[in-house]
Amino acid sequence: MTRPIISGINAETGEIVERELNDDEYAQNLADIEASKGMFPDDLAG
Amino acid sequence: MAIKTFTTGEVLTSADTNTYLANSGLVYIGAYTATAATLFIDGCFTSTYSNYFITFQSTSVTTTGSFQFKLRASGTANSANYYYGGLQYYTTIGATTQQGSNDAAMIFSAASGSAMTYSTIQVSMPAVAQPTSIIIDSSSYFSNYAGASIRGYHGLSTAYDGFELTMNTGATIAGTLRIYGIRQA
Repeated sequence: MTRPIISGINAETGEIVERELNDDEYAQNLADIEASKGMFPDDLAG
Repeated sequence: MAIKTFTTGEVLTSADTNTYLANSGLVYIGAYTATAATLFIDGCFTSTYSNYFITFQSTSVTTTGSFQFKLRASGTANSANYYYGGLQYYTTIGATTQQGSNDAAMIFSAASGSAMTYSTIQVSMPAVAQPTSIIIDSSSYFSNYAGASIRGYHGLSTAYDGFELTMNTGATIAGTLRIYGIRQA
């Protein structure tokens, strides 16, 4: 399965980086998704 | 204080003009447009400025959710110690509160589908090893959602050189970041 993409620039050097999330970033990405469950904006009905 | 005060009949020279351009209130540092799950700008927080103004416009997200802001040091995001509170705005009920204590990120505006969002993010003293103040104001429109105002801080006494935006649903974001330093004198 393809991992999500991280994309950005270094403002000092102009270097652009675009790659798949590494192991640590992917683990945090999954943790963020898990932590978000049940949170806003699931209650958008207001 | 004015850099220079002109008098009647005085010629505005190219040197004067260049001086004013180099000393505007907001000094452009960089911008980045991409479509990805994580958008970042590194190397933007330095000792040159104490305070920064960031604009963020998104044109689409792949899954409804909320944007998250994190500080980065040497290419690695810090995912703890974000303390914040604020309001989420709705066209139907006005506002609800939102808060976080020692969260993995500062959560701000929601977004959905191709609904455009616009956020301004103010960051104070990120490049200094002390807690970093963060103020985020956003507008968004989908369903009955209207935007958010979130303020707080990152509690670690760490110096950061960049920031990143993600969504708490892990969605892919299409958006543009622009960052400016606030002129200090």
